[in-house]
Amino acid sequence: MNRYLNLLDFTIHSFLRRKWKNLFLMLLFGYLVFLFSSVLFLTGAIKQEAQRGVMGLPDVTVQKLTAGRQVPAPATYAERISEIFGIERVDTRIWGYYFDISTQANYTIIGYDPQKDAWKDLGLITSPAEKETPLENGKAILGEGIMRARHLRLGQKIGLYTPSFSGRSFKVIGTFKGSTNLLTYDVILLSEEDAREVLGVEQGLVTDLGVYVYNKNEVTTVAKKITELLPGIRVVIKSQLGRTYDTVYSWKSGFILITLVGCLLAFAMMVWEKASGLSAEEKREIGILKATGWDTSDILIMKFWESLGISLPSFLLGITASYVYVFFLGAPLLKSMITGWSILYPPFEFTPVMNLDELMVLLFLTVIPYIISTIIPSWKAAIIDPDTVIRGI
Amino acid sequence: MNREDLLRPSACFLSMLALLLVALCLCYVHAIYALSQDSKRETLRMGTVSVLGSADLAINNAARYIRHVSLTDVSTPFQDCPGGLDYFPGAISVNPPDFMGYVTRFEEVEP
Repeated sequence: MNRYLNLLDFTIHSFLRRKWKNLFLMLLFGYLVFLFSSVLFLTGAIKQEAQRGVMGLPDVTVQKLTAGRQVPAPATYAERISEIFGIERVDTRIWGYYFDISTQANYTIIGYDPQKDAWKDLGLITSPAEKETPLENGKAILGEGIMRARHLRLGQKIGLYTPSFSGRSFKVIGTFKGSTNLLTYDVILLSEEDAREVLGVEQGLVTDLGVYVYNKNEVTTVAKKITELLPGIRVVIKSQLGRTYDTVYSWKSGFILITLVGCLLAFAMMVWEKASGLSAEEKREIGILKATGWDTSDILIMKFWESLGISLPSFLLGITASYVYVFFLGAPLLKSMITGWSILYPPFEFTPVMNLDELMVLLFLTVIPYIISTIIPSWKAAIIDPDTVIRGI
Repeated sequence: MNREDLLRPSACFLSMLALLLVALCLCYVHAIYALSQDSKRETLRMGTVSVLGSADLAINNAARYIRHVSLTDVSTPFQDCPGGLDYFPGAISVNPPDFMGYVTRFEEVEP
């Protein structure tokens, strides 16, 4: 043990003789790890946020297509789909977008059946007088973003235009909780009838249908039966939606990582430079050590400590700094690159996620090659006759 | 271990390494704790998704065709599939799901 510590002491003294060069190397190493791990942390957090909502989605979403484009589906589809064995329930949905000229923002309008009470479980912020009031016609529940953009308070009215340019006003009876901002910031929840009027969806038609299946193992079979029953429809199953989130955000992180390839190449060049040979000074040092009685194994241990002493602290520091940067400081600059921008941009914090698999990949892409690239040329120099090395022949 | 041993450069280096490892472990513990705290909001999140019918994040609403990446609607210009091509700079880019062998069309999966 003491032998290893002595070798480490010697390595540190050797390190301090070239401290500025080595410190710059550590800085570069740490910065590279910081950049890559920041992108991985942020993407992982967004994917986690999106994926966790997938479980609440309908098992199958059914949309009608005409001439390759989506059109409103007949509400009667719900009854026909319900006849398929194994279906728990079919929800008809009325939803769409509303461009608000005054704020230049897009709202998502969702129609909700007033008979259903599920909206009460959302822990909405309501005035005491409206606590038990159902979401009936002429009333609305707004996302926090719309409340802010339109300077509204509970009990006030929000005016919306129908496609025929007649104005409708809705009393704001509640607002979604801030903790659901990522899902509800731009949402207006209206009764189905009001949503139909504002979005211009005719009676007897719905935007799409959400199908719930009893046995989750049979979702694919049920989806196939629906396509056979109703030709000209598009069926999207829940797992596909989950994969969509993964693809979308992985693509975005890949996009950012591509821009960082230059850094990686610079690092690879540095490693290549080291692996291709030692400097004359380093060779002479090894020669002198051999001449004074050091074994080849001692030299290799010293070089191992040297490379580990540069790469591992840099790696650990880079990862820790990126964690703090992403989850404590909110990843300024990088966040806007990955999440984009919008007029109604919800304030949010990501739930931290640390994927050990990704960290291990990063470790094997940075620390391990660096250690190998230091040890191999040192071994080559250490097995040569010390006299030859010192003379520089 | 005597005082001299504690002041050797190797001891300082190993202590620094240990500190950095502890810092990383603390980050990991923080991530697990934050996730467990966030799980308390799971019911609220599921309820919200169930009422809205969509789990799409409301971070890209500058144009209506990038608001829901997993669902198309009657006004979406590219209606080929969920996650359709996005050409609006607000979201940087959203790839078509058929990219790299990813298929969104319904396909029968062997049990």
